[in-house]
Amino acid sequence: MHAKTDSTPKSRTTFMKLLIRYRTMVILIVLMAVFSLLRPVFINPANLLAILKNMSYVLIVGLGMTFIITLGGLDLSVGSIAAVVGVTFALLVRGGLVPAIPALLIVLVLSMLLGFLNGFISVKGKIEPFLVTLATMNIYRGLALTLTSGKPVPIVIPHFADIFGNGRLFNVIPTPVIISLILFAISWFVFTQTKFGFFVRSIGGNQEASRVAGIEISKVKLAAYTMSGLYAFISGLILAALMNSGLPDAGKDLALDAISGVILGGTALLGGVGTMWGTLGGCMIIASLNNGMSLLGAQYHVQILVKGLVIIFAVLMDNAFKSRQR
Amino acid sequence: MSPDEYVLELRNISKTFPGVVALKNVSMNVKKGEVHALLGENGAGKSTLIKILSGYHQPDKGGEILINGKPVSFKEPRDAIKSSIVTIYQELTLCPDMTVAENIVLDKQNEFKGFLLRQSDYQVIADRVLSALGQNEIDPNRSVRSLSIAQQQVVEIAKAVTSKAQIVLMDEPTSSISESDTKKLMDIIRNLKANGVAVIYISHRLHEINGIADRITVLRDGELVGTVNNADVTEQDLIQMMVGRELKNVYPKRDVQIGETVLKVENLVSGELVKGISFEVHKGEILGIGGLVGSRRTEMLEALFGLRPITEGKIYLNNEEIHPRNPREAIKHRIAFVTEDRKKTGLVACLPVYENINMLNAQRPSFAGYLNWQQLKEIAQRHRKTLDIRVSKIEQIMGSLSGGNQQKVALAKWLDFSPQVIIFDEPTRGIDIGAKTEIYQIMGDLAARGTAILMVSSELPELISVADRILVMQEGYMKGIVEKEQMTQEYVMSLATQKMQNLPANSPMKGLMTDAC
Repeated sequence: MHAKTDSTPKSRTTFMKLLIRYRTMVILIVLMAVFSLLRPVFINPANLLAILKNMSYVLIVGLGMTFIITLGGLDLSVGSIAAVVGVTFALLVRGGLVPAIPALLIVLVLSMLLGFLNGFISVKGKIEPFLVTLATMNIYRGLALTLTSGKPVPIVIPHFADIFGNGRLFNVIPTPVIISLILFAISWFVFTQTKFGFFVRSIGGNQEASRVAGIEISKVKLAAYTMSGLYAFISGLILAALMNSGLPDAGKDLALDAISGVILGGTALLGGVGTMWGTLGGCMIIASLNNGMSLLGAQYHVQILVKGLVIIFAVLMDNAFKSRQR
Repeated sequence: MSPDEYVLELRNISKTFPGVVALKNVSMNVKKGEVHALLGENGAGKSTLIKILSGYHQPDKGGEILINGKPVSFKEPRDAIKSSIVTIYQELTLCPDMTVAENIVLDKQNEFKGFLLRQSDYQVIADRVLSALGQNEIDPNRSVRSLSIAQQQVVEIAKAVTSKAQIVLMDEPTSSISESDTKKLMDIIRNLKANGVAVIYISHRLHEINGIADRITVLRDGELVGTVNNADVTEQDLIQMMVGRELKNVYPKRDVQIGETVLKVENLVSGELVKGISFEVHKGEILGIGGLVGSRRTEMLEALFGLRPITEGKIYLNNEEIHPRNPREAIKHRIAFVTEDRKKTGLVACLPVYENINMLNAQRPSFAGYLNWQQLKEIAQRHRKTLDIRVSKIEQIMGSLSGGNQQKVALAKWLDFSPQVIIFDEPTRGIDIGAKTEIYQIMGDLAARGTAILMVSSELPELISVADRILVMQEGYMKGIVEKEQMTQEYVMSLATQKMQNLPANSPMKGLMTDAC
């Protein structure tokens, strides 16, 4: 009798614990199950690949954003950097002005420079990264619009769209999916198995303690924002390749979608706690929502409404997780 | 006196935090219109008791709180306020950009009907209460930011008085105000008492308590030592009650050969804060650093460790001049700093124990920045064993450890660099007595291995028992170095408190332990 009354609440708490611990997975699975029931075509391999493809450019900036948010920062400018990438690349290769490979390198350096500037202004000027990147989000977008007078610039070079956009490996897996998964693996490794990842977590967890322990805070921060620019570079190339042109207003939702994905993945907005797996799960939730609701015939405005609700739900679960940990 | 005259009664109050018992079976009572002092060393449980009374903590099951003879339970701070218990904290809780009057009525908005602010009503209330406290010189229309700290405290008290408090808790109200303001505060307390309000007064300053308290309750290590009438006891009695343990058992004996000079500091100046400190510390020596809170001991150490700019003076390490401009450079010279505030500067609470232990090890050069976590975990296991860090597994999150274990981790991270100098800033703050002894033991072992140790402590018994010599500071200046044979609590305290000009040697002093309890 005693054993029974004791074990029931205990097993319930372990169940709750698991549920809360793997909350990102749980939300994702429930979501996918619901969509599959309502529209069986959702679970179709072709559709799942489409989800992964549409997720790819969000996931890529999300990976960089995981470093930034774990560090206790934020980067709102990634979408604008992605637009600058697409636009400048299109302008450079237009009419054979610059060959494709050097053009790529120039744009790569430019995007990292824009990311570095975010970090530099924030670190040296001692300004909240939220404010800095809110400003640069506008500045970089303005740059993309100015360069193109607001008009799309077509990209007409061979293989570009194939490599970064609509090509398929073995005629099955879209190349953006491959690129994003490779970057995921690299990011996971850097985040968990290298000094840099460790310092990102320790600075985000306690900057002053990290300073006293001799960790070079500014260097780590500058590196993280520069990397965020690099991730935005790849994301921008994919966006440009999918459209076959540099669009000055590409990636308008990119930063917020990526931040949503990272937060859904359990990374704490205050820093210190984050995982790459969580970000993968979180971005998949967002992509599944977009796809599933389109299949259900929901319009864009309903989609973003539901997206917002899911984020609130996830953060509530996050708080439950934290209060349980205490 | 019949029990129903007690405005507040505590019966068998205990409070357990993960890993630490903060209060054990404490019972006390407070009479109407009485000033009741709460006294005890650091970690004696005063703050925990205050937090229970103000509703921030809930006591363990089995304890009881009675107000006017009726049991109450506080789930949150507003419950305590409803029961007319008002707390005045060490850190003031005013809104600096609001006016005095607005602050005074801030927690009483329920009493005002309607939707609009009633500035004129507020002013009337503020005027009335300020003049009742004899503080007419404070203009209710001024913003709180423009007031002195002491005046802000008056506003805080005014806020408490207007909420018809029966019981006012004051947590070290004089820690940041001047002597003359303290006198005013005492007048205000007498005023409250005359109006039938019970005041529970926490202070380290024995002479203040002597002057104002009716009864005194002493806590030690979370337990009640006793409640006495102020008139019946001397300061010496109170110190005995507070410290009252066999110091021998707490401080392990050590016998270390003191070697050549490791660190030599000459006329160290850092901005306006640290003003000309000189000392030497030798191999195997523990140099204690004493002084009151605000004597800028921590600031001096921070300058040594590169956390503060050094504006003048020289630092020699093994006879070579060094210029640590940041912690990284200090660490390169094998100087370690176990900081005072573990939560703020010593640890990363959200990371696991093994990662905290390896904060410095992880900075060693490695191929492509790769970290061999397997190896680092083994290092962590080794420290866990040698320092007896009590955790269920090294993957445990740092924040869940007790103070003593956190301190051991905060120390462990420095050890693989075989530091020549280790700076300990309040190494036993917030740690229970058993863990304290272990920390002293570890410090002794480090000294025996030839490490030079600097130790700031506000606990005089600790300073005297552990240190070989004591450097005493006051307001950033150096007041002298006390050799082993001169070490008495009285002498160290007199150096720490008396004005720079007239300092008679070995004078008996009031307010012993000012800062030590």
